[in-house]
Amino acid sequence: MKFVLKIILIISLSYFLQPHLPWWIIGVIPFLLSIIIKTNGASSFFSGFLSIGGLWFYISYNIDLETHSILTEKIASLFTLNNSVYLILITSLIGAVVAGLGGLSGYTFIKLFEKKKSPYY
Amino acid sequence: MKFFKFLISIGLTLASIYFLSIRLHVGQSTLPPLGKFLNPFQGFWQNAKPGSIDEPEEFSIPGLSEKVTIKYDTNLIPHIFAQNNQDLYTAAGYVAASQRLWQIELVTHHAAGRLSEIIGNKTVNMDREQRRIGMTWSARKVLEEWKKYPEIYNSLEAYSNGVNHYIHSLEYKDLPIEYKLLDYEPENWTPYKTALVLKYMSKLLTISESDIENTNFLKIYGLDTLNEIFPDFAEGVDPVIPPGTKWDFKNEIKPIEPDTLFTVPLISNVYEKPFKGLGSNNWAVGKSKTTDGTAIFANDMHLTLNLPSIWFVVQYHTPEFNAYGHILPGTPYIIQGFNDSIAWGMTNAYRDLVDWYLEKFKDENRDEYLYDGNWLLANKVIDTIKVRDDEDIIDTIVYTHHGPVVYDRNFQANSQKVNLAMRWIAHEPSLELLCLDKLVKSHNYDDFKEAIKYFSCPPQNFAFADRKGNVAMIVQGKFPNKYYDQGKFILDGTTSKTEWQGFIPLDENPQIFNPDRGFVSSANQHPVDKSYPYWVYTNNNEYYRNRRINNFLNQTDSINYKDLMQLQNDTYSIFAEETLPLLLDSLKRDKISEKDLTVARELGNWDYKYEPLAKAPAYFEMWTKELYLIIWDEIFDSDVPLPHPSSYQTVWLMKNEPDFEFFDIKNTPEKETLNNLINISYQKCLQDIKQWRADNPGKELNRSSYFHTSIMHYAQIPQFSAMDLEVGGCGDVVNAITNTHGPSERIVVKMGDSIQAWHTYPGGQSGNPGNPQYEHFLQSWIKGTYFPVYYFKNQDDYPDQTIFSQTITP
Repeated sequence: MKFVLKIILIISLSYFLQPHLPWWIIGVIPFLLSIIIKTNGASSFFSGFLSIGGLWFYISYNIDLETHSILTEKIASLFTLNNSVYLILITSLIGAVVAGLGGLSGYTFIKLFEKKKSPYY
Repeated sequence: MKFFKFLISIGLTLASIYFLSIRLHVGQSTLPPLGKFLNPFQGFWQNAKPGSIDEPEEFSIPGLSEKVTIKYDTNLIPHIFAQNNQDLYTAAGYVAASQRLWQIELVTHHAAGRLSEIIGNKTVNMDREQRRIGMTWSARKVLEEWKKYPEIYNSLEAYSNGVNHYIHSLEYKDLPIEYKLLDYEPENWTPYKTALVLKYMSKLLTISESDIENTNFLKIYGLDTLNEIFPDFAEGVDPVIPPGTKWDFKNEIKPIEPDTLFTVPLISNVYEKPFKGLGSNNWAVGKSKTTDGTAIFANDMHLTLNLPSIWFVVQYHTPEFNAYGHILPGTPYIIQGFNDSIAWGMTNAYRDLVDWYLEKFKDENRDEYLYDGNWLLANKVIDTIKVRDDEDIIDTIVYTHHGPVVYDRNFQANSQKVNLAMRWIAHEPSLELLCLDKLVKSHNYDDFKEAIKYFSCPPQNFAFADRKGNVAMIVQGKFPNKYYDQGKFILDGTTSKTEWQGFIPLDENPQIFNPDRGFVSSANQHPVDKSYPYWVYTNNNEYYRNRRINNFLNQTDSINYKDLMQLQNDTYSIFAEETLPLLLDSLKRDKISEKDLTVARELGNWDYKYEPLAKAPAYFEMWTKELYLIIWDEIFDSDVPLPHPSSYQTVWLMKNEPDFEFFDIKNTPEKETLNNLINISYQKCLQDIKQWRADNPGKELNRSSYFHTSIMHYAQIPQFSAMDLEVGGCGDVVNAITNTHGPSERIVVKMGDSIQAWHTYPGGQSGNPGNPQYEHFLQSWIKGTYFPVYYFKNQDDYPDQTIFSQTITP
């Protein structure tokens, strides 16, 4: 449940903030959310990875569709990719990894302040 | 342990963000900051546009005095309606920036020798050259002159205000894609940048001289041989002003020829000259020769073909004038165009406008130089070139009163260490903008003449037509009044006798109004015949296009606008017509195998037209290229740069001087004749064809595949370019499309009761490769078709052709 909540929050916050803030805000949002909403490490990573990966895929795919690949094809070819789909995938992957790492960093950060329960009690 | 985990994950996060935020060098290429660039919310994705216009419908620009309305037509041509010049040019600046921001800034960086700031060390030599020939120095000088004329300077400030308003409205996501790819940002526009754009054009059109090469040739072969191969007036030329025109000059001043002798060492390096053979065509047919008695005007200007296109089309409407035409993005004024009374357009009028003075300095410090027996102080300027990702380059440039010492021990260092100062007409302040300001407001020939007298550089053949059916041509520019052969060779810098002795009076520039033949035309050929009282020289005359145009216009009566469109797209080669029979007749066919004769047979059946899929033009190009190289082997094998003879004079010598000494190949023991050369070059041509087929497997050799005409993006990005086009033409035919150059626009204007016009150019109004209109006109340009011009009289005209209406308020 927390996982789904986090995904919804990351997507909506990113969607509204990204047009106005530097691109790396997609690392900061999952970082902060993983501090506020505690889950485990894998869940922190994948909430970032999947939300931004999905969001960036959705936006770039839509632009590609709406503009009949007018620029995607040119940039893909410039990057020596032979299909513009790869460019959409690379875009999504870059966003996904940065956001995933941001989420994981948030989790490991809040862990620093967690008191370890002694096994001897 | 927990701390360690945190360090790893935060480290990985920050590292990935860092490396995705900077440019990465991979092998020869540089990647843009990937995170920033690929971000779909702000990166390159935002430059992809579903529609051709993405602009606010209403906004305000402080500084406007009244409301401005802009109507965009289906071809994305803005029709700007303003109440005064200030408002007009503010809007024009905004419009130009919104369509072409990256291009206009790049041109100014190029002109100012600042490319290395963006590109890095690859462009340092280009930048140094621009600084050394005085581009920024002369741009600053001309700006000071402009400040004395508020009518133009205020317009330039208004234009800057418009451009800057657009720049300040941008966020990263709105930047043109090239800024994102190269990862830099636009800077503020100023009137100085417009001066740079004009200097850029002046350079392109006036510095293809060969004074140093001529000097080398003179030293090696002597004056007689030079005059035989490079005559000032070749036999049979058809000048701009019809031969036989009487010159009735009252102010004629004869320059004084010095009697001193002066020797120069051989010079082994020269900088790269702009493409020789850049040209244009213009003509205007008067009422006596057209079907319905109205003058028809046509112009196609030939330049390096680039994307975004060098031209941008606009209509300007104020209570004072209503003009339509081509502007150079970066300058506010219409350069070629028409208004409700007249049409005008230009071709380049080549003349030798660069001269080199050999300076004698007192010592190695070069603080003082000798002039008329005195030591004069030289001026030294320390120039810093900023280089991206590298150290600054510092260059010292010495100026004498002649101009900057371009060639010296530090630049193109030649073994002689000579100091050559450049005197260039573009170094003089001039008022072309005042001319353009007056042109759009001209109503008749007198207004036109009054306007163009301010046009100094680059000199142009101005064609004129009006609605009364009049036509005229004026060879306009500020031409030094030179004594015979002055500046054809390096000049002695130590004496005042070799200075330019004033300029040819403006009234005495070649001109003609309503000539008997019923039309005027120009195509970069000689301006006049030998009877013109002043000495006229350039190394860059055109010999073929002009005769084709004149033949057609002389032979055709009752001409209509469609004939002129056809003529603009004509690919018939007079060069081939005059050369090929001689070549084919000289072939020793009995010594050539049946298979090898197929090329000659194909050429024998050729109609001399450079059609896109014709094979013969490719064969002919290859053959004549080989022949040219072995005829002039003395020139191409030389250790020092020498001038290149024209094809025209080469053919003239072949026909009239078959025993000319240069026909012998120098490095062979036997003595070759012209006939030998033709046969040897035919064999070489067969070899070249074989090699071409091996290099291009599966491809058919024809005009298109041989030239592979390409319109390159300014940053040489192939994906943003139009490559390997299937087009006809070559440099010598009216449709002068070569591999990289050609008609940068074509326009035909019918000056009747109502004005009708048609045009096209190899590109589109939008400079954004992600805009559907980036190459909007390209196919029509290739096919030789035209778009009708929507010449608005009122804002509400052409409602069906208006796709977007924009209002700018104060």
